[in-house]
Amino acid sequence: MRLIFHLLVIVSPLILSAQKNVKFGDVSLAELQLQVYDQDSSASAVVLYDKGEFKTNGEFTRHRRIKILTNAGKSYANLALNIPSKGNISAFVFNLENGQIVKEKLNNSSIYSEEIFDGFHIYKIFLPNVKVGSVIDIRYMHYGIPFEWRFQETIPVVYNELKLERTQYVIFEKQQRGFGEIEKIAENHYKAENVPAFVIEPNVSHYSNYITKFEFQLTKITVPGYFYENISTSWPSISEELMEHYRFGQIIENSGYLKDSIKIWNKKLTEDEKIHKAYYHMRDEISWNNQNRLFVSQFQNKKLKNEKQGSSADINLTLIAMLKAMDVEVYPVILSTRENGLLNPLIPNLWKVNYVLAYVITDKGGIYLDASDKNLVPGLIPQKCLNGNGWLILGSNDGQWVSLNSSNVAETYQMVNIFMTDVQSPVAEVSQKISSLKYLEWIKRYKEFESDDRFRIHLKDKFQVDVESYQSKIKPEKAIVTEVFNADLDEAIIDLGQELLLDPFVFCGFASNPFKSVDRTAPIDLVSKLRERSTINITLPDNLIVGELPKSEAISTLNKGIVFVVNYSQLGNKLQIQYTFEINETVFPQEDYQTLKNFYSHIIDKIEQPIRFVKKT
Amino acid sequence: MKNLLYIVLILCIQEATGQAREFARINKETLTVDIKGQERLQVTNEYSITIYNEAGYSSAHFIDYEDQFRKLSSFVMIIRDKAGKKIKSIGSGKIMRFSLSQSFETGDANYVAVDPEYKNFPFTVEVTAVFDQKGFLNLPTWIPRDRFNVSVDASTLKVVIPFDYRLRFKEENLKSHNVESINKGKSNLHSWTVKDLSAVERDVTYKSFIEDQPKVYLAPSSFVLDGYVGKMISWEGFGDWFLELNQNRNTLLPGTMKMLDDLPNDDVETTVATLYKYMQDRTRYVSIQLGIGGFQSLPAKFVDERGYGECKALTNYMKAMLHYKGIKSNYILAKAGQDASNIKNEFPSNQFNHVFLGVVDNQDTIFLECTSQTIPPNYIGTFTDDRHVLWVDSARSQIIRTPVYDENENVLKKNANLNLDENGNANLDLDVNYNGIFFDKSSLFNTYTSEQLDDYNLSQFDYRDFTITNFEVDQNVNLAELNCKYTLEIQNLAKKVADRLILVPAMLQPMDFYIHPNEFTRYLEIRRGFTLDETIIVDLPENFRVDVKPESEAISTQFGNYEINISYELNKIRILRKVIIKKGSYEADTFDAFLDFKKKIEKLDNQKIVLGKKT
Repeated sequence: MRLIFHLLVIVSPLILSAQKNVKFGDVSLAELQLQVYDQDSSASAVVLYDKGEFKTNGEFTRHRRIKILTNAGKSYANLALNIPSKGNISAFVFNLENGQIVKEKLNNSSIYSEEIFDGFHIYKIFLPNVKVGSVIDIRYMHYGIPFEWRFQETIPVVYNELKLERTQYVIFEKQQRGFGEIEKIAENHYKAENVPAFVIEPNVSHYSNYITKFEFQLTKITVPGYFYENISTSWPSISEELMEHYRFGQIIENSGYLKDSIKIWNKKLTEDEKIHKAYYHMRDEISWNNQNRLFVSQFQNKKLKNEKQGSSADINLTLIAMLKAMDVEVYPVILSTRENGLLNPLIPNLWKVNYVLAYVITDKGGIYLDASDKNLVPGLIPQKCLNGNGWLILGSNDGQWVSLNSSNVAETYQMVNIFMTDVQSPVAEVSQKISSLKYLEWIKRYKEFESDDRFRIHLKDKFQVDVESYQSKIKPEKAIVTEVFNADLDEAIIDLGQELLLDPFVFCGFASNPFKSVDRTAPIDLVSKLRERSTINITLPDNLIVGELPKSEAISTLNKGIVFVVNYSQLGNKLQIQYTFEINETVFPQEDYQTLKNFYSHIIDKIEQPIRFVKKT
Repeated sequence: MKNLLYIVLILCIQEATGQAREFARINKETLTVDIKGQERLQVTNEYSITIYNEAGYSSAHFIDYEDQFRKLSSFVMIIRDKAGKKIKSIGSGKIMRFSLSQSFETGDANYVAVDPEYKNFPFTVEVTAVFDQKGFLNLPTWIPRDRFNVSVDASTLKVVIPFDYRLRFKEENLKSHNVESINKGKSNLHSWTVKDLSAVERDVTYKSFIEDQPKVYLAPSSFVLDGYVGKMISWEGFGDWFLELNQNRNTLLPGTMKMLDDLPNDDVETTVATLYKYMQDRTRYVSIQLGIGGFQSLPAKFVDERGYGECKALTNYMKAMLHYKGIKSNYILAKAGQDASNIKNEFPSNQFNHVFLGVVDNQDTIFLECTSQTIPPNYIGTFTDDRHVLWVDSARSQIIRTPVYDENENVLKKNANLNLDENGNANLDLDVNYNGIFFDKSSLFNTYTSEQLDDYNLSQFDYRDFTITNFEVDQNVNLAELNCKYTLEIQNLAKKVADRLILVPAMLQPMDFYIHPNEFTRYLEIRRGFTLDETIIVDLPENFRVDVKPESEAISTQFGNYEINISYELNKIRILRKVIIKKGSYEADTFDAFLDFKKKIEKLDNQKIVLGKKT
């Protein structure tokens, strides 16, 4: 018996991958006998078969077969489907009992209708008697084309097929994502085989950008009693559609309840002052309700005026309207936030857009404005918006792509003075200026602590040394904070008797190598540009001399994408270390992974090097 | 055992001195509990709260829940600006209802929530909400000041009951109980009032904050839920009600009965183990809580047919199989969870959210947690260990205490082999054995996705630069043993200075990884004692020898013990490190003493081992 199992495990992939004409409700013994998926022995479940079929009558049918391999895999037997009727769902569970295939049909009573939200129902299905080894077969149907079809999942897929019949009634466009291979069998007919599980890796913009799939966009639906036409066939046509939209373009043209205020301000202000006035009026008067939107909400004017709150679109489109009414050159920039995936300049898709910013053109160039967060300032946009390119709407049927990541840099400038007077417990005076994106990160953190004293204890944990007399000075109008503190460096020295070692990079922002996995399948996204500079001055007493200084060094990746510089110099009893770390490029292809990993390793190697002093007797 | 609404307050750290910040003020609140009979209850909550800033905005929301028995029958929210002018009124039409359930569950409980959608601070929210309840088991608990940074001007609890109904209550930190006869003697009105409670800063733990609050717990003396009559004046009564509700639900399918008939007769322990394994292999945890299903289990036949259920259903199924084999078992009602607070023993009432099973076998009790597919019989872990639970037994239900896992059982044993090169980089082969409550970790390996597992594995190490090149997990479910093997490449494990390498003994994990005392609240609870038992063998690079080696040391205190022993032999260093931390809770002086103990350990953990090049 044992031997037979082994044989089956070995031959099973062949059997599994050969199947194309799979019948719903009919599984093979090999599928049930499979114990480990040999191409991915850690898989908790594997999709044996997944076929989607869109028919000329507008029906979409999906048949999906899953093999459960571990206890964790049993969760694939719990489903939530958003389809119109229970009657459109059927399923079977297959088990092997004493060498016999036992087939069990999903009973209607195992399908639970659940109201997720006012009036919005989904069906929850708990398939019966699912054990390790079970095979489950599910089929369901709905009308219309789904918004995407995944050929790859977070568990391996043996066979996946998609057939799309073209009809004059439902016209759609599709777009491929990801790196997996999709084979074209015939016109509008595709398949993928032996697709490995998609591994969600750290430092990725959003995994859905890279999983192998088709995204669909409806162009036109003409069925009796229903008509829909999407005119966004190009990005300029999206400009046009939006500029005519009553919850977008028409909002920009009307400064609404602020008309009177604008008249007064407009008379005596310079352009800079106008931008300043309008921006801070919106930012400070209105609170953001935590909703990211492209279109304004219903009764937007009333919301802003009476309730003093609104969505990002309510706030930013009204800001554009104000600036326009004050004759400032201003345009909307539309984009997709990070968790919503990247926009593709080649594929116009309005449904993928979920956010709007203002963009003013001044003598000094273009400036982004987002008034939805009280910590922002003109020119600074939140991290969620740093997602490739945005589409700048220059007018109806006009526009251009603009980089969202280029404008903001996370900055820290630091000065550290270390006094080695008492060799057993040196002290440090630290002052640093944190600005732009780094400030946004800082202020969010600081607000959890609310006071300098509480924040001091947090820094103690962070740097692993005793931090004393901490003071912060926040300049919210500039998005800058200056911090000054003293620290005892007992923990940063190692006394070896005749020698003394000092770790000078205690306050360095560089904590650890972010790249920990062996290899990589998706591009690397470091989110934002970064600049960190530090000058460390060390004052030595007469009884301490420098044993040796580590080597100065300047390294960078190709085209100065990431730059690291450390420079040691000595003048009498003063030592100076200058340190720079810059991220100038934020996205790297996966092929660069090993290079980047080694680069970061090298930096850590450098900043781990202590300075060796010799005690004079 | 319905998971009712839990408002989770995120605990923040605060300074110990200075005036508390005030985010909002409850101007007036009246909670009226009108018990109209054993089966009917009306709860009216009327309050007015002024919101001062964004931080207090969450208190402007109205959040509650509904289910089959409890419906919001009337609701109005009025928003007033700082001058007291009415801005808007929100009626029941604007209530959002959304499901409480996750992907592995379904139920009829819904959140009801209203967002005032107004942010012109300060402003006032006035709410009147009436809930009608058909049948009840629980009554509301009144805690006038239930969150940090909110003050209370006046708050009143009113309980109206028929003159012949006995109200059961437990008051804490207040004495203002008043009773009067109303409705021409047909009813009694019990009331409590508090005034002028100032805002409290988050410089204490939420647990001790709530413990110190004035509050009143209420419980029915008799009640009816879905036709089942219960008496709750004693634990015996409550247990009997639970038994009655869940009786006659033990019919099994013929196939299962045949399996049970065919089972050879064996001792109780063996039979229990066999059936427990049978149940685990056949079922999975899926929660279906509709109607009285929140309290009553689904029939054993349901589980038998479908192979899933929630804690009551799976427990009842297991009980039914044992019953068929003539083995008596008892329900155990518990407040489950790793950090669950104590129940109030002296106040019989429904304080539970979980049920599991106990089988008395001679002098011993075998505990069976029926919601896990991967633990052995008699393993309850941190989910229900060391606490008071209700042992349900006809007419003899009583509070018992579940077993404690102590520091001798909770052992984390690590064997490490480190191969150090002359640049200070290392290859680490680490073997970790999880015993006692550490076996809880096995559930991670059984449920995590590969992404979650990767994150978890990375979080087990805090080197600045490392890669996990191999990971294996092995479980011996019968013995509740878990073993993980890791292979790591670590850059810069040792500090390199000229021709020397410097290491510290605690090179696997610093103490902070296991115990992280909060210096703001100055409160530390070690709920379960544990032992770390490490053996580290470091293979030195060729041509290196040990220049400086710390002495062996041992510390013994009331908090626990510590031992470090470093020896050098033939190009190898052997480090034996043993830390025993006892169960205990510490505040004020004892907190400082504990910190002192931890600092002493850290000092020894961070002694330097200096390796030099042989000349």
